[in-house]
Amino acid sequence: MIVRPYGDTRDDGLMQLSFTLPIAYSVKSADVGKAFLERLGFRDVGVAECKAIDPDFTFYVAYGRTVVGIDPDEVKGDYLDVEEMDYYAINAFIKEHLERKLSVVGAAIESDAHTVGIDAILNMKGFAGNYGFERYPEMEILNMGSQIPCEQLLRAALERHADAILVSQIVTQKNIHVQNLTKMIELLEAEGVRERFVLIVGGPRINNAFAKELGYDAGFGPRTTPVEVASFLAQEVARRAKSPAAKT
Amino acid sequence: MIVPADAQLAIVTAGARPATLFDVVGQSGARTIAVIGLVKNAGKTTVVNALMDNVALRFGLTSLGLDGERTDHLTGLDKPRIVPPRGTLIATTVGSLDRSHYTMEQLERLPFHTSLGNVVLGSAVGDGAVEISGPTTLSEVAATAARLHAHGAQVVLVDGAINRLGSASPRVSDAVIVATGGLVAETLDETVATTVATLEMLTLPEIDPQTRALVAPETLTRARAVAVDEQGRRTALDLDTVVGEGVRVAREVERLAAKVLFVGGALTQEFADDFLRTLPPRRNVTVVVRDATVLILSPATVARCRRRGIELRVLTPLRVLAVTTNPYRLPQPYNAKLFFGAVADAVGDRAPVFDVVHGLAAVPAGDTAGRPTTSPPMPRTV
Repeated sequence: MIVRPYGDTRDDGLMQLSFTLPIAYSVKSADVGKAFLERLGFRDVGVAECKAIDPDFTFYVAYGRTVVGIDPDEVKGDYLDVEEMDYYAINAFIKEHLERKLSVVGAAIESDAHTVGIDAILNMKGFAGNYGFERYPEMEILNMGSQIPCEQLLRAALERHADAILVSQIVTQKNIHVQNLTKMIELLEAEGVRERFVLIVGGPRINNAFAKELGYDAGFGPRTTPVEVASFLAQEVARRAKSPAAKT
Repeated sequence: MIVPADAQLAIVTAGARPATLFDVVGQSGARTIAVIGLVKNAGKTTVVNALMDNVALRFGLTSLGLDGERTDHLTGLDKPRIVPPRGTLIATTVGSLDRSHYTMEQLERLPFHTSLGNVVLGSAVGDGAVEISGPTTLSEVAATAARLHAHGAQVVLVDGAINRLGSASPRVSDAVIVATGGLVAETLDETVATTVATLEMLTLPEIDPQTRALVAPETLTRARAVAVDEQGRRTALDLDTVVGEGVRVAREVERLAAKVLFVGGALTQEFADDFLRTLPPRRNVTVVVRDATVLILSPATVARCRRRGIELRVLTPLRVLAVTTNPYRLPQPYNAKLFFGAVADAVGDRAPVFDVVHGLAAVPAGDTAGRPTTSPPMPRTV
């Protein structure tokens, strides 16, 4: 079904827009903003705010009507197919399906000094009103922090017989960060232990398809909350425990 | 040889010197070919496309990573699409089929889970571009290649992932095409040097029969490190992994007066650094690993080891069929001929070099890329 923006009534296509143009404010500025939006295809454009935010820049808030619509079903993403559970359901699920605690080791690897991502998922206080894994009674967590060489992360995972390895990485335009991520996979494969672990990567420029390209079992991008990762993890570990073929 | 009688393009009389990458592949007799890249966007998929279009074999196709997507996730730039000829056997994920709006004649659902759903195997309909993403792990890729063969693929192509070398492992493939490109390093000189050093690392020589007899790899069950002394006495080191144990292993090698060290798993940069630092000077040791894909280190380290008297050897050598070049880099590509020439000159007689887009070829005289070599020539120091 095609949908359009909702302003006052269904399908009216009314949108609020805000943007900045690199022009000095003058009496003409409002008309420039209006003409720009009309060029984008908006109709019934009304400029509500038009202010100088700097001698050379003008900021706009405007309204306009669009006839463009979208069918949500035509957008094909790369979303992880997982049933989301809450904190209590996840703990109960692990208890029921694993009959032991789920062991997780995580780190920001190699050159990456940013712990905000791995901490949001693992630390007790969690993120966005969501407890982190340390709070889960059915999980055993080792958060190794930042700048952890792949070798050290692998050893910790082996020593603790971890079910899962969480790798956090800020991927920048330079390919070095991508190489950190592929190094972890190549190391696990060379050691012959890749299939022992559920391997998860997270970071601001990570998505699920990119995780597949890198060789990880799942990828989580910005705004991911701990329950999303935990839901996947609990179900994936349980699935592997059920089918020994998947874990050789 | 598995070249079919009706193959038009791939027919080259045995022994003839191959002139193109297509001849090399057609003559090789290889069953599963890994196309690996030294960097992301080195042109792996372009090579895969060219092979499917120009060699009259029934190909099977899968990927260790994700290929044929419309735009690159990191750079946002257009990527080469994959339009497999009708009848090509494809193993990809349900998610990739969905994302590329591709329908194929599905033949089998493979039991491999990925973040993009299950892997399915089917036959290409002949038009439309498809996104190819195979299973996640190397053993699953090996099993997928076996299924593609079982459904009639004469040669299976495994498109690589980013800069990973893993699919070149003999566990997965029996021949390798190495794609290099302008994005490998900042400068042309560095790019060429890295290409040659990586090629040398990938073609590390097999251990000689005497050393193999000493190590007796067939008797090693899950041993992570075994030291062998002059008298042929074998000592298995008590380690679950050598990763992070470079100092300890070097001390054991010294204590046991070992001549050969066999490493069962990965050999990392960290290990090599610790090992070289701890081992006394002028101690000649041959370090044997399974194959070149377990070397998780900078290719320059191989030369550094050699200067210290540490020779690296493999139980199973990789068979590099060819090197391909792609002049692409940002913001401006190299001149294709110049880039190709620089790489071809430096690679020399180690392997034939091709640029399949610009039709450039450099095949060493007496090239044997079509046939397996028992022992590749000794690598030269870069």
